[in-house]
Amino acid sequence: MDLFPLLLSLRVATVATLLNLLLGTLIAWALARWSLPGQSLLETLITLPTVLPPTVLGYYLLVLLGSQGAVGRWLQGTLGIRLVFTWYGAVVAATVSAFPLFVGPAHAALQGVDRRLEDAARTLGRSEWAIFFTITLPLAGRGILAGAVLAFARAMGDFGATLMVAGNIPGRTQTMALAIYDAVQAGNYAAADLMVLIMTLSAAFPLWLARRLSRVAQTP
Amino acid sequence: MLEICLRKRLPSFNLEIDLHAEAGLTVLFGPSGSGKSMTLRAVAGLMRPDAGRIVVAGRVLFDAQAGINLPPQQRRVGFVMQDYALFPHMTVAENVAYGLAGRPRDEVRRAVAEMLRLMELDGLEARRPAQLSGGQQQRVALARALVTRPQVLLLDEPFAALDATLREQLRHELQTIQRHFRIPTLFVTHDLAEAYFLAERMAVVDGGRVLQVGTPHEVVYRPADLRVARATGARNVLTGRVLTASASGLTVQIGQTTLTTPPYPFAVGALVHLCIRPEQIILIKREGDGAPENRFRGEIVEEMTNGLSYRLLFRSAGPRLLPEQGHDLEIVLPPHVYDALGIAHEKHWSLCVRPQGIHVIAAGPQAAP
Repeated sequence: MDLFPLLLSLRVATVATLLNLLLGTLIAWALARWSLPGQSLLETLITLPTVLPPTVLGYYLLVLLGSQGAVGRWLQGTLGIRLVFTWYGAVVAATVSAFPLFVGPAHAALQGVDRRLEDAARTLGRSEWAIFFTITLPLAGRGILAGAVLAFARAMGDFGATLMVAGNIPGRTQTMALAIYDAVQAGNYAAADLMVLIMTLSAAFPLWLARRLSRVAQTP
Repeated sequence: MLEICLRKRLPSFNLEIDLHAEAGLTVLFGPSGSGKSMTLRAVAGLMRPDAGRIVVAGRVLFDAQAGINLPPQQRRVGFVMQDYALFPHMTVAENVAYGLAGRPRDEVRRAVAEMLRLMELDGLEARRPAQLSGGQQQRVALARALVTRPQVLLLDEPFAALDATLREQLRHELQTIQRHFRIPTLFVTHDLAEAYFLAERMAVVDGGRVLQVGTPHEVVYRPADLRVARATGARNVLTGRVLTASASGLTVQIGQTTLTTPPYPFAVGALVHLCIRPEQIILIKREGDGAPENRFRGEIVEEMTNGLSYRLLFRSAGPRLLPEQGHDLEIVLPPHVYDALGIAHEKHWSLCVRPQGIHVIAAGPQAAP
């Protein structure tokens, strides 16, 4: 079996999870702590990838990130990064697809942190950043971790959006999900069986882990 | 030492608090939802008033006109919240040390150890809050606040979640601590007995305003108005017109009869409320006992007890004070008096309302009997 698709999927899912941890935590925190203008619109936008057809999501990303798109042009011009038909594109597609799965549990966990604990910390003279890292984050840690595990599982298995943005280039952007499709198309069921088994396990384990984490989070 | 003036428009009412407090313990007493806790949050900088000024020990913490609003971090306020808000993921020692971040490690260790000893928490350093009793949690919260040497201490119903015995013990401890640190302290409670016991000064708060400030005795025995009287448990409030006024006292028409009171500056014809505390009414065994005035003969129509005292409803057999109601006066007696007088078997009594037990306040024209 060609290991490239598995390694690429792992690499894409890892980077996508890290991006979710950074951006997603920040956004989940903002949603949990402030009533932002257009809050419900924002929450709808964040949830949208769970119900949109992956092709639609992929199309949006393509339009935004392609060489003619606003973000794509800027990235190419200033940083020299091309997203479309590269593994970076696969990372973006996986990140966005996994975003709602991360933000959901992270938001709930951050909202569950008693704000009076943060208030108490304020009166004790600690800065807002110190409070975030010593009170909020540790107390929401399990929920955020559960979100990260779910996001990893989702990022591992993304098909549609990845196909639209990164394409299906063997040896360059072909992830496991895409390789399975190709194997089935080529009638190579032996390879497909093995890859399907690996993918099933790599999805089931994180799901089990996430359930465990959120159960423990509810009974401290 | 402590000067609070704040205005805040809230959904249910307007907060308009004006309060000056010296060093020592000031109790904010009032019913739930009266704005007491809000006031503490404003002093701590956790709630921003619309207008006003808050000064602690000469430092301006908030001044709407001058545009000063120090963040809570810079206010040097020690805040003990109602259920303590201890950090559940930290040990007792880490909780107490939390406000000392940035100081040399040795200094922190020494300060924490000293504070834990003072609060009789030594030996519990490594415990988590969930492994402590309610009283211990309360002391950790106090230790955590005091170790930072705040300039004012705010306590929001700190004993509300504890049982009665522990509560009494902690009240005593708080007094000791208060004498040790000499920090101006604002203590919020809706428990009158607690307020009376602890307060050097008591501020009665209701509907977002400070209704009266004084010693507990002044507030309870000389309430400024009807709302304070009701809040502090003057169970008998009778309304009537002044019939005679002299240097020796007033006589006031109440219902079908009259009551004599000590002298108060009211003119004949003025509409007044008489506040009579239920503990100030005497049951008379033999005719001739007690003062000659304000006597009534009648019957105890209802009685209740909580084990610590008896609450009796008395109905006059002669002229009535409250002709429209089932009873005229409410009386509170300690159990030993109840037993000694044999009230369980004898319901017909004479009683005397001691003039010294009557406090007279002005009644608005809308309060006509």
